[in-house]
Amino acid sequence: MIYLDHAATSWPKPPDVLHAMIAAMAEGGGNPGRSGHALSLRASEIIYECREAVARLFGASDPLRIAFTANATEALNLAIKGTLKPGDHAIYSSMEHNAVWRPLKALELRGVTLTMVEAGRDGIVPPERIAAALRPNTRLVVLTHASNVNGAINDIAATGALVRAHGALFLVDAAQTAGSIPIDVEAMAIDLLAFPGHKGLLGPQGTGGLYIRPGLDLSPLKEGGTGSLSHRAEMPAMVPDRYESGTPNTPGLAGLKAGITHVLARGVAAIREAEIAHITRLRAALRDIPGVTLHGPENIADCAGIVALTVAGRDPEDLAAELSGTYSIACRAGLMCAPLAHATLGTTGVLRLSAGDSTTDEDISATIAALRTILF
Amino acid sequence: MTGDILVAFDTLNQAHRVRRKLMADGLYLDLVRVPKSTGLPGCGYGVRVSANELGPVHTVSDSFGITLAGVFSAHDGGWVPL
Repeated sequence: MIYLDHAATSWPKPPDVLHAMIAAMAEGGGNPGRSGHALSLRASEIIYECREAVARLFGASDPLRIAFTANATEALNLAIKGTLKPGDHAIYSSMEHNAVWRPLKALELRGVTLTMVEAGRDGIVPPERIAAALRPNTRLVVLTHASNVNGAINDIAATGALVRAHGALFLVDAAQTAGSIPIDVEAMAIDLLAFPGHKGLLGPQGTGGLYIRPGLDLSPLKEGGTGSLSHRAEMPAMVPDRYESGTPNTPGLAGLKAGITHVLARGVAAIREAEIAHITRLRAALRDIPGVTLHGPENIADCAGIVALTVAGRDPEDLAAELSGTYSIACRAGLMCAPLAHATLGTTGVLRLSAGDSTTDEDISATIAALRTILF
Repeated sequence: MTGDILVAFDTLNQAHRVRRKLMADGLYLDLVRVPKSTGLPGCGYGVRVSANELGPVHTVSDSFGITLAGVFSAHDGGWVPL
């Protein structure tokens, strides 16, 4: 199997991730924060260590500002629904995933006004377009760090600076960049950072989280048991308890901690360098094939580890099926839950090849050979 | 368990943050559930310390902006506010 679907989820996971999950169930199988016995306390330590790892990776000084969720979608919902009230104005881009677009559109029905800022044809959202859309009542600006369709990277630091200067909150969707492109929440003026655990952080599915800037309070997305201040009817004000009702995914977070440990040991910059090398080769080879159109920024420095393409006269779904069925190459075709992005790029679906930490030069060579055989 | 003083926190996460900082500084502390005999409501966690370790706990907690739920000393099989 050649796996080029890392933008959907990374695979295979480092062996340490699997081992950590098994150990968590075997040695830390208690319910964290609910009891005082050794299994419960060990489980809570595992989760706190994961919180520390996330904070270290993203440059957050306080691990308690990391709230764990089931995935990036839940983190985005918490951030969006936890900040916006009727009468507020929010800005988003035309490259956002449905995980951003749908909760915003749901809030529009309840009195939140929205402005969609158009990205360029390459998928990049110029910061000045965000600046032009700001209003006095703009409460939130939501921007993807990199498109899940074509990998176009936005200038988060520049956008963050202008959003903060305006007094609005800046929510970044790091679904495609966490673990593969350096992120520093403080240097980039990010108020809220939503991340999945199972992509570039190399953890298992069912993990993710939200960084919440110190001093910022959100309405919880759910209420329930937290193991703290249990005698009160209202949710605790303390983070992260306020946002983490219910028994957490301890084995998953043990795996996520191991995944982040792997990322930190490898170095995000080194991972980024390897992914750039892979997509550079893919793009160069694909440009030589007649009928192929690449959909992404010209400058490789503006691309995450994704190559999006269409082929004249060929359905992307058929190409993905042929790559899978004949060559055992796993990739993805279609809308990727981002219809706005396709409208921006002028496509109705693409074939997406996405590299990750486990991608090898041989994977890329075999993929290029397969595509040449199919398309020439 | 060591230490005849119990420092209670409102949440396990706060207890972990303070405890791990102190452990990094070379001070190992036992993490425990807060007994009902303290009179604190809800379900809290704390650390057991000796009298000479209480100062660092206060210092680290203050530096993190964490307010202690209470400090108790062992007394007659239970806990009384210190």
